[in-house]
Amino acid sequence: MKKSRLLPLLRLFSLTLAATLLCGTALEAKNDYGYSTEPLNAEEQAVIDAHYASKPDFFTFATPADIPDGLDWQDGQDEKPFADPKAKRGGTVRSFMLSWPPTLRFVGPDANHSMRGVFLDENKMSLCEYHPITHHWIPGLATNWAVSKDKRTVYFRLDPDARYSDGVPVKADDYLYTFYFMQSEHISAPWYNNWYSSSYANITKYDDYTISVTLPEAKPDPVYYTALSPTPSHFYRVLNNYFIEDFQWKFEPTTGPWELKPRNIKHGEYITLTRVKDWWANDKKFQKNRHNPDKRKFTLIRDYQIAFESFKKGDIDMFALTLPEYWHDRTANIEPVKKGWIHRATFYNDVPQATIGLYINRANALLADKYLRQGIQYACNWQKVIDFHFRGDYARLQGEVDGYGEFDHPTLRPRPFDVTKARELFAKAGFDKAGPDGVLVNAQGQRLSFAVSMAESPNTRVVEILKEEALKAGLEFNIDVQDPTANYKKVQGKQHEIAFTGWNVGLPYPRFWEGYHSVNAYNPDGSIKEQTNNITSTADAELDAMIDEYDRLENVDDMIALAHKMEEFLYDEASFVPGYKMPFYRLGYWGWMQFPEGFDVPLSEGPNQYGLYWIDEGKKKEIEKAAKKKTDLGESTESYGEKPE
Amino acid sequence: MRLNPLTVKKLKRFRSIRRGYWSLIILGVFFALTLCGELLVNNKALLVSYDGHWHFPIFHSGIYTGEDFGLDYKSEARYRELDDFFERIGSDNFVIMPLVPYGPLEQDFRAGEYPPNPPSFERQHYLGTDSLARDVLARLFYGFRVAMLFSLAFVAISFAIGIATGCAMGYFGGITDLAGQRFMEIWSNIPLLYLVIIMRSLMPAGASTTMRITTLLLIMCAFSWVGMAYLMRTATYREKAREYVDASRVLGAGTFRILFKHILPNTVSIVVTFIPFMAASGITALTALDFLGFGLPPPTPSWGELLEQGTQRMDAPWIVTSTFVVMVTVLTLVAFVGEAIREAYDPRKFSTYQ
Repeated sequence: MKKSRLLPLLRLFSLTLAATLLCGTALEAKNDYGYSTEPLNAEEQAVIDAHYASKPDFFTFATPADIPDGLDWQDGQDEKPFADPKAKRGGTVRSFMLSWPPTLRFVGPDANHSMRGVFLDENKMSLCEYHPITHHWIPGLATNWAVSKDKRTVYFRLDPDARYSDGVPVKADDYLYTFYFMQSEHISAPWYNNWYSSSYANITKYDDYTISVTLPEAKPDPVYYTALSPTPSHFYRVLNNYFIEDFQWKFEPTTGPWELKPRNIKHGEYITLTRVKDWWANDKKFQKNRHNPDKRKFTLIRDYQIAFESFKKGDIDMFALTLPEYWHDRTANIEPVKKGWIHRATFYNDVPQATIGLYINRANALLADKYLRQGIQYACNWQKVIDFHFRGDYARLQGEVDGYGEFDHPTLRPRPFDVTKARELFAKAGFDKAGPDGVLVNAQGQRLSFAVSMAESPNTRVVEILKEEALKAGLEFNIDVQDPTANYKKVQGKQHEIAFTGWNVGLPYPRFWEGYHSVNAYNPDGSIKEQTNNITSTADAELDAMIDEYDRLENVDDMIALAHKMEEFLYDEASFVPGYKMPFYRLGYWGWMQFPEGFDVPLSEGPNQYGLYWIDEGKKKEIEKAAKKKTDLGESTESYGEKPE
Repeated sequence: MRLNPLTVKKLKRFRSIRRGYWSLIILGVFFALTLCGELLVNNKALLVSYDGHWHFPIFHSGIYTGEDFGLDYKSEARYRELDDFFERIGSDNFVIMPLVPYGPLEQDFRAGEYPPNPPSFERQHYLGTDSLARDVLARLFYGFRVAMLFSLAFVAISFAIGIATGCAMGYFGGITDLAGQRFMEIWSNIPLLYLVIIMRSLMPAGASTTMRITTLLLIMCAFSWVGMAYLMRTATYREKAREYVDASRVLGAGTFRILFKHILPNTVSIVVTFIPFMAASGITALTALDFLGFGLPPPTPSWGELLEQGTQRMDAPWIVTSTFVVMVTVLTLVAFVGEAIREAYDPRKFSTYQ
C-alpha cells in the first residue's frame, strides 16, 4: 500500500493533542484529588449570592451583634465518652460488597444504593451528634449550640478546627451552600429539593463560625432537625446541567474519618477507604479512640455464599450472622469457630424498631369492618413464625411504636394467636359458616379470603406459615409475591388487600402523621391518595385531631401521653398486625478484631456505625499461626447488651 | 376400530423397542398414580371409624372438623393426631391413613427442631422435610402431577397453534406464508422471561392461583408454537406437491377435507415424534421459572422451588438429592420414549435400534 501523505500530518496533530492534554492536566490538577481546593472566585460567588438574594427570607446575613442575648449555650462536655481508651490505631479491615456502586454521588439518580451509607452517610459529620447511650446532644462540627425560646431556631458556633478531608476548613458559607445545593434542580433529586425547601424556614450567617437555622414550626427537640451537614462549595462550585455526569465517579471530600481517593478504586474489583491523614477530630472528646483502622477495603464479591466462604477462610474480617441459618447452622459447628479463631457475638441493641407486619387496607369493602380486622389479628400466628422460622431469636413487635423508650405503650401488647377469639370476631363481622374447604363464608357467599401482597424475598416463608395457621381460624391468605419494584408500586397505589412490609423508623420520636393521617389516605375529592405511607387507608377525624395536636406539642411529656392515647386508638382499629422485631445484631469476627468491654453502644445497628472496634496486629499473627497449626484456642460465643423480655 | 396397517406396524415397532416401551409404561403408571394421588399421599385419612360410623374424608365434599370427631376445634380435623388420640384413650374408633400421611402444603413443625429435618421412617417423612417442615416426598409427588398436567396442556395448546399456523402457511403459501414468516421472526425475538416478569407485576392482588397458573401457561404457549409452525409449514409444502393431493382436488375435495383428511394424517409422524421432547421442555421450563421465582405462585408444590431450596440449603442434602434424582429420572424416561417414537416412525426400515 502506498504510504499516505497525510500520515506525518496526523502524527504531528496527535502529538500536539497529547501535549495539550498533558499541559491541561498539569494545570488543572492542583492537588492529589484532581480538583481545585481554591475558594469560589468572585464570578462563581456572584451566581450563588444571586440564589441567596432570590430568597431573602430564607438566607439572612447578619453580624455577631444580632445574636440574641440570654441564650442557653450548650457544649455537651458533661457527657461521658463512649469509646474504649484501650483501642489501637492501624491495620486494614477487609469487607465485601455484593454489587458495584452505580455512582459515587450521594444525590441524584441511582444514588440510593446499598454502599452509600458506608461510603457517604457514615462519613458525613453533622453539627451535633446524638450520644448513643444517654440520647443527649454532643458536639460534632459545632462546639456550642443554643435553642431559642420559641423552639424554632438553633444557634451554632462552629468548630474552627473542622476540615474537609482535603484540608479545606469548614466555614459558615458551606452550610448556606448546602441549601443552594439541595434546592437546586441540577441535582435531579426532588425529595431533597422538597425537604430542604419546606422543612426549613431560614439560615443565618453571623460570621464565618456562627450560624443559626430556623424551622417553620416549633419542635420539641429542634436540634434534631437543624443539625445540618456542610456541603463543600469548593468541590461542587456552581452547579450546572452536567452535574449528574460530572460527579458520577467523584467522591465528595468528607468531614468524617474516611476518604476515598481516586487511586483507591479498582473498578469492578475493590474500593478502599483510607483514614484521613491527621483527621481534625482525632483528639476530640467524643471522636477519640473511634474509627481505628487505617484502611477499610471493600472487595466486590457478587455472591453471598462465596463471601461467607471467604470469611471462613480469613479473607474477610467480620461477617453479619443475623440470619438464624447463619448463626445456628452455618457457623455453629465449623472448625474456626469451635477452635476459637472466629469469635461470635450477639449484641442486644436498643433502637426504634422497623414496623414489620401486615398492613390491612381499609379501602377494601370487607376489610373496612373493624371486627374482621381484629379477627385477623387473632388469626395470625406470629409466635410460630418467630419460634420456628426465626428459631426464637427474634421477638414480637409490640405495636406501631416500639423501641422509643417512654413512647412505647406501657401495658398494650399485641393480640396473640387465638382461634376461638378470631372465629368469634369473624362471626360478628358476618362470617359464621364454614365453606367446603374450611374457609368461612358470609350470608352473601363471600369467602373470608384475602391476598397478602409482598416483595420477593426469603420472607415468603413467613407468610406461608401464617397462611397455614390462619386456615385454622377459617381465614385464607393468598400469597401475592412480586418483584420488589412491582410490589412497591402496587402498595403505594393502595391496590393491595393486605400488605406484608415494614417501614424503617427514625429518631427521635414516633411519627403518626405519615402513616395514619387522613390527608395521606384520601384526596379532597374522595379518591385514594397514592404514594403515601398511609397504606392502611386509615382516615378518622378523631385520630386526625390527635395527630395534628401531637405535631404541635412542644413538651415531651405531653407528647408521650398523647402518643399512648393514639397507640390505644390504633390498637382498637387493628389495621396493622404487628409482626416481629430483631432486637440485636449478630456478628462473626476473626479473633484479632477487638471490641470494647460492652461490645457496642445501645443505639448501634452494626459495628461500623460508631466504629468502636480496633485491630490487634500482634494477635493477628498469633491466630493466623493457630489456624495454620489447627491449635484449639477455645470457642468464644458471647452475648452482650440487655436482652428484652 | 380398525387401525391403519401402517399405524399397526409403527406401534409394533415401538413395542419392540424395549427401553422406550417400558419407559412409557413406567411414566404412565406414575402419572396414573399421581392422578389418584390423594389416596396415597395425603394428610386426610382414608377411613375414620367413629362411634360405629365410617367416614371417608377424602371422598367427602366438605371437611370434617375436629368437633365432628369429639375434639375441641372447628377447623379441619388433624387426622394423625386423631389417630394417636384414639389409640391413647383405647377406644374402638380408628383411623386409616394413606401410605404417606402428609399433604404437600402441611407444615409439620415440631418443638425444639428446626427444619429442614432429615428423612425418618419412624415419622414417615421418607425423604425428609424442607425448610418449612413440609414433606419432601409429598411435594415431589404433587409437584410431578402439577408439572405433568402443566406440560401436557402446554404441548396441546402450543401444538394446536403451531400446527394450525404452519399448515395454513404451507398450504396457502404466497402472501400468507410471507406475512406469517415475518411475524414469526419478530414474535420469536420477544424475550419470554421479561414477559413472565411483566405479567407477574401486572397481576392484581386478588388473582386466584388458578388464574395465575393459567396466565403463565398461556404466556409460555404463546412463545413455544413457533418451532412447530416452521416444521409444519415445510411438511405441508412437501405434501401439497404430492400427486394424491392433486388427485383429491381433481375429485372435488375442498380445502378443509384436503387439509384434515390428507395432509395432516401424512404429517402426523412429525407431530408425534416431537410430543415427548416438547413435554420435557415444558417440564424444564416450568422448573427453571420456579427456580428463579417466576413460576407457580407459592405455596404450590413444585420441583423448581424444591431445587431452589436445595441449592440454598446444601447442609440438607436430602432436598436437592431427591429432587435431582426424580427430575433426572423423569426427564430420562421421557427422552427414552421420545427416542423410541422417533425410531418407530422412521421410514428408513433397515436402520437398527441398539
